[in-house]
Amino acid sequence: MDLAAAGVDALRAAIAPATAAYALAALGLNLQFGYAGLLNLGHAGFMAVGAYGLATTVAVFGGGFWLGVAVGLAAAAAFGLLLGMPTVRLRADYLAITTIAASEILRFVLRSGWAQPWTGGVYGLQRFAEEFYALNPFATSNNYAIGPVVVDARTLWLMVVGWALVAAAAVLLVLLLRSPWGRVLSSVRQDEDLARSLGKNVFAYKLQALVIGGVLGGVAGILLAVDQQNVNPDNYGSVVTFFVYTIVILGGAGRAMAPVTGAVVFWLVISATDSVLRQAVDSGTVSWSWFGPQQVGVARFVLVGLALMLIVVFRPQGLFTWRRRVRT
Amino acid sequence: MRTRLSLLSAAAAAAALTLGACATSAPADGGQTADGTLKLGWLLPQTGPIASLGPPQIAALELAEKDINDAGGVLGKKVEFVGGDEAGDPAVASQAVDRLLSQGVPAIIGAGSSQISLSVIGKITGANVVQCSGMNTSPQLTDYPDNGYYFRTVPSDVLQGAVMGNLIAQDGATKVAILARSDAYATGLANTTEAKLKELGVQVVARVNYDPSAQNLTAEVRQVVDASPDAIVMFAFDEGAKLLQGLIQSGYGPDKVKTYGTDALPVASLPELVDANNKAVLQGMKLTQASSGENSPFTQRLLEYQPDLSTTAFSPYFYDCAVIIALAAEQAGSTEGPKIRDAIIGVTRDGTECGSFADCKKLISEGSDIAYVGAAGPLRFTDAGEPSTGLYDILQYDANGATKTLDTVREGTN
Amino acid sequence: MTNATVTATRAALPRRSVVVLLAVALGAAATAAFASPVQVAQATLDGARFGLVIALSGVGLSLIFATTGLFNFAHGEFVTFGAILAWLCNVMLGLPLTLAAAVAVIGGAAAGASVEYGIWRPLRRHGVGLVAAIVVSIGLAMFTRHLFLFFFHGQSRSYREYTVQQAWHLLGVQLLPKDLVTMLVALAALAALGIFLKRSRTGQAVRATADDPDLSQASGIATDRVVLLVWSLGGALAALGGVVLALDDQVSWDMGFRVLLLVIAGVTLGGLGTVRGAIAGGLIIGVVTQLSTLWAPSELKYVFALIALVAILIFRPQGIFGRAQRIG
Repeated sequence: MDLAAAGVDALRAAIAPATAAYALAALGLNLQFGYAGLLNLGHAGFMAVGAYGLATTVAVFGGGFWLGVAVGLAAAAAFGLLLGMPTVRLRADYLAITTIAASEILRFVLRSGWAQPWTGGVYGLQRFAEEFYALNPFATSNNYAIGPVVVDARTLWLMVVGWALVAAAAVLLVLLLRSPWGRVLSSVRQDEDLARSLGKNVFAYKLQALVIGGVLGGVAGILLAVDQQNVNPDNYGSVVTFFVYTIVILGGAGRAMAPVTGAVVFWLVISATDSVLRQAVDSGTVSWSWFGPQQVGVARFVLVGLALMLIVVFRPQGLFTWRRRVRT
Repeated sequence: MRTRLSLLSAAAAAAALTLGACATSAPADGGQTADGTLKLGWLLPQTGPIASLGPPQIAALELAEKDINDAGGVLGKKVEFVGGDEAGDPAVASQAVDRLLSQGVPAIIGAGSSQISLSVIGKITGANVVQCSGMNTSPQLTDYPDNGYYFRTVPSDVLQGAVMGNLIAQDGATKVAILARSDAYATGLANTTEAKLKELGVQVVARVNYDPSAQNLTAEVRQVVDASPDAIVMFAFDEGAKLLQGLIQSGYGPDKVKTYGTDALPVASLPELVDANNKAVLQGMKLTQASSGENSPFTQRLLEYQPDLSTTAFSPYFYDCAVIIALAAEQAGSTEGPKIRDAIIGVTRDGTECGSFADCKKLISEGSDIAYVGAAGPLRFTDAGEPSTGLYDILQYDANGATKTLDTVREGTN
Repeated sequence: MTNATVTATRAALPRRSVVVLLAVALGAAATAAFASPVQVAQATLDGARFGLVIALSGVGLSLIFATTGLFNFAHGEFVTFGAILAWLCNVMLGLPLTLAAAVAVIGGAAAGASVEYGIWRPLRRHGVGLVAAIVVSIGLAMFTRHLFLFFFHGQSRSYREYTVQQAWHLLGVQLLPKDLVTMLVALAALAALGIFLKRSRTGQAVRATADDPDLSQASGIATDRVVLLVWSLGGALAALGGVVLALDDQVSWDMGFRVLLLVIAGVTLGGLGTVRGAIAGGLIIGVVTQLSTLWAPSELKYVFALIALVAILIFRPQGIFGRAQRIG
């Protein structure tokens, strides 16, 4: 068993562009869930909208990459408005169902034959980020080493851009949350009725939080799409949303920079566990008849489910101090 | 607070820049290590929905590694495979590819699923690494702009669709209903089959695309039945069992209507899944599959090497991927990705035919042009890097629930 | 609620039932524009069967929500559990399916009780909020589902009996014996539940807790025991739902998860907290899904059910038979 190799793999996963994307998505979800108290179970939908906005603009309509990015962001904002206006005023559980339903509707539509001319249907869309990679300042024939982790030039470029985006987003969020706007949002979370009685338009604040968080989700989707140069509707199922929730809760919902740590730790642990389990099975260290290579892939989901439960229960970090809603 | 914030932003920016700055250049060395081994990568379904198809390919690559090294290796270096799991999940596959690329491999063999290949092809070919698959049949991959780095030894489903269409027409069907899973694999195959049927003047009375995640498929079965077909062809995975149950119960089972499928169905266990009490439930149903040369010398050798394999599907194609990559390196005199890419098409056509790595290597050392005839037959790559011709088996279920090979058909230009 | 309100609501119920039936009939009639009467009748029958299975699977979710306020996103796993347990008894142990189904129902009850006793009751005691509890249920769902995958593996399997049957034909419409049995079993179970809730003392205690938990507890109703009963019933009925679902659609590790959104749609549409609502909502969702395939591509058949769900949550969140409650 090569634990050193497993460690390097885990480090690589921890700083990968995909991790940066999940960090962005988590920053957005944290704003919606941790700060505004919106139980948005459709976050994958925002990521899909951002990614498809870019991919469709470039691959189907021949637009430029940066135009595609703008379209993706605008689409994510629009999706947030469309979703939010009728549902933000609903109670948490109804909002949860509505958002997950909306996200699934979106996924069905994206993969349908009817939408194929624009979305590629079940095939998805590919090859829409060439312009971005052309800007790569690192020589593509080389590999690069960051400590023990070796990556190729394309990945390095994407990592730099991705983590810079994460930094920018985190800083912007911190600024936003310390502004008057952020203070009102905080008061809404703590006592909505009080905020309302003081004349604050609670609905508007929540909607804005949903949209801003959604746009961050859109950026995450764009980053993931550029990493793979591939968008496919099945990559945006509810599992993705649940992963992002785990990240937010892992980091400690409601604290500004926490989603970033959450994302890094999440992928570090998942990747390490995967590597170790895989090696254990491959090398024969573990040779139970019921635990073969097929079971290794399942382990990550079992872990995530367990983590979600245990962390919420044992380390809620101050998020869950809401008054239980009185019914009737 | 301002100071802390500006410190925070400065730190964040610095971290991002440091990433780039600290990255020290490590020239891609074509996967060669100091002790003279050539590392090649593979990306295969060890876990996930098609995990049952993983073991034969891994065994085939191990066999290839042995054959190549026994013949003296590539350019004097021993070949060593390093692998990653595609796991039926683009995120996992992507991480596996990152790991493989970090080891500087000049070529990655895989993936198994067309959909996964589509999600990693940008990453692999963009890093100037050759990708070769023995299982991707989606027509999407033919024209994918990959700078020539993507190859496959198994023919595109354009060919299998033609085989299926011909088969149905030859059996005398006049009204065909098509049931297709709505995903990259089945939709493409269904499209090419439909096109072929139309070309042959056979009427397609129903084309039903169903959602793969649907739990209940009654409505889809009804749609097919309502069209009163005399032949039904389904492009499905294990939900095909549900579909067949529904069709049989509606009076449109294989005993009443010509029924066709492909090897994407769980072929060996299908009769039991449909009706455990009736082994002959699917008698007469025909399947097409990319020929794995049921009794070919290669399959026999593979089963000798690993007798507990439950299937040998696609294994010769992956073996061939390994061999042509090795031969291309020999031919080009280099183990770098771009050079291998340039030489691959040439080793599959326009030259003296040879049937094994050892024989072909000998011919190359004598200065000849070679045309490798693979474990699955001659390859004769088109300029797009895929076979122009394919061999397909036509199987049929008998009264014991087993399949017999009726015929083996070659499709495509010779 | 005052006497006047009670009488008014009671009078409204039959009226609402008639409205529902009329709406379904109208929808069926409208579809006749696209398809023959026989096809419409067949689709309605198929939809009724599927709808009743949804109702059976979801009524537990509905009651759990009404009595505890928790929206249990792990409810689909009871469905899977029942189907798998029945499969184990039927295929591995060779028991006849009817007996296997009974075992599954008992197993489901035990599972429901254990989950309440071991997870939800301690969480309630520790004052974990409802939103947090929903997130825990999501984690529990992911954890359990992948444990099923771990042990049952990915491929779907059938029971040994009742796999392929001869259909009856009535006026061109086809009915399988097992489908008739499914519908009767589901109706019987739901009716029994309804009668239990209305007539028996324990049932009335359940309804009282659903109406007002604090008041019920103050009146001396052992709320904890009531909740335990509701979870057991919910688990048992969902397990039964899984067995009948698998009769037509086979046993697989994620079968419950696949129908979860539809089940949620059904019970929400009908009105959370009422058996009548579960039946009505389930039937509507089932019939809408099947009828839609007569005029729209069948890959989109669930979209219409989901759109109905979103619409109902926006315009009338209490559903058809539910009572208007504070929604924000």
